[in-house]
Amino acid sequence: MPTVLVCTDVFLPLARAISAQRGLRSLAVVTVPHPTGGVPPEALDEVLAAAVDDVAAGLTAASPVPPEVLAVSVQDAPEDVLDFLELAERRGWSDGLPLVPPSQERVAVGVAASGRPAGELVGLVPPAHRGATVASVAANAVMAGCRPEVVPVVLAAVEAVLRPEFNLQALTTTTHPVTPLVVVHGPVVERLGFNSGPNVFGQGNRANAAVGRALRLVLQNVGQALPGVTDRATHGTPGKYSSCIAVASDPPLTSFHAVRGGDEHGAVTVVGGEGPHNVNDHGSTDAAGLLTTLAGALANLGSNNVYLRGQVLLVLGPEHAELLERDGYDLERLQAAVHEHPRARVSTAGVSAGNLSRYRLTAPHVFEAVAADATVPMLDAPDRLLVLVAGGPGKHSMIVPTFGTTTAVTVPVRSAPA
Amino acid sequence: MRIIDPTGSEPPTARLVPAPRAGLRGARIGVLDNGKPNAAHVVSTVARHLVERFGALPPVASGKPNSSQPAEPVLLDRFRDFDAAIVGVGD
Repeated sequence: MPTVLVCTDVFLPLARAISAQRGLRSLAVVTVPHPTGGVPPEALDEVLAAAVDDVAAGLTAASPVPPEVLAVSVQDAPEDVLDFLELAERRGWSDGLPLVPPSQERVAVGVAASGRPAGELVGLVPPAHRGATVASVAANAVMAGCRPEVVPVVLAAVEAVLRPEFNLQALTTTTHPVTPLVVVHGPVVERLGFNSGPNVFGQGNRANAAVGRALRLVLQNVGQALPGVTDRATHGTPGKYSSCIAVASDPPLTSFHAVRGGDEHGAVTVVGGEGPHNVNDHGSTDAAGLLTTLAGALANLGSNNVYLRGQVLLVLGPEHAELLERDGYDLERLQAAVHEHPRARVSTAGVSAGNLSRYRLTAPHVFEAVAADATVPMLDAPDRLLVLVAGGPGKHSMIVPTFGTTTAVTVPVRSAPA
Repeated sequence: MRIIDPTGSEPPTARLVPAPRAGLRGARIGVLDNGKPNAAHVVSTVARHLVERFGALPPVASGKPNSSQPAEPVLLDRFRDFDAAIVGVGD
């Protein structure tokens, strides 16, 4: 059917990419000046009237099909590492930091560590829907600085983000500052040297840093989520360089590995999250006090979770977890206590009329019948709060708001046959 | 040095080239509100002009409540009944 896609001018590269992804490289696209949101509707009428001739032409004339350039799986590159970096930057393969050249030999070692065929298709990565083969994932892992033995962890993370419920297409193209947070859990954490302790979200551990970075490079290089082109993030987030933590001690309070269905090797859970926000509570000496602080920090009007709902991740510091355990909390009781807490609510008095009308469309079950100065729960249900324990000594926890329209996915890490 | 291309394989998607219409007089036009602010106004205004200036039939509107979710198959199926469609990307 003849179709015209109307798009604001700054979103044209994304419109082209989505058209190509759906096999419609010839789709007619008509642009209007950005933005179309945040202005009174009638302010758009003049530019829309001016665009109508182009729309009519797009519906009644054949558009030329842009030529395709076929990728080559193996190619020549300069021996010198600095020359390679120049090549990588020209080709759009770089996140801005130095890369290890993915030589055939280095990639072959990574592929062997996975125990899987180099040409096996892991999945199609949006928005370009190019195919991530085991070899191309290993190539990005090499570039990111991964040791060969962590390639199975990267492969599990790629498989996880490609599950439909994760909604990667929206996550990689949205204006929202979101990226997949990779959570590694189970025996693989200790075996491969991931950091689950002090500074767990920070720098200093090669396994964490390189696995998170490798996933981002797969999204950029295979998926073609290109900053400012098809990745339309308004600000982005530092996690778009790398975002990977681990869970090792896994106390009974959360039993994250078991709750997520992990096996004897280990698993990866991906969470479509914003940057983590600190929950500082040095003052509470009992669970009731800490729960007030956690619930208050959870309630956040700026978060996507207010109007798209979905899951929120709570990363308890070990000392906060110990306090909750001491006072008799298990996971279910903790989730219920946070969800039902009077501070885990947001006031619609802090939401503009225009935003509230939008919320009534996206989350009618929460906002449709409420007054303009009501309070509503931050979460739809207790189990929307994912909980794990990570980090070092100190009275801090972390809250990771999510994109909202995304569900955390867990995939086991497949070990190569001995 | 020989390197492995980190961009993976070409997408396997079939190539579709829709046949254009000779004109818009009497065309049944579907418009899709993708859930972004003002999206309904943009696509319906454009379609209204197509009615007034090119003789298309009054447009039929569909919408997604949430721009970050893919359209449901049942919604996409409704577009089979139209001769032309107007959709959008942007903010």
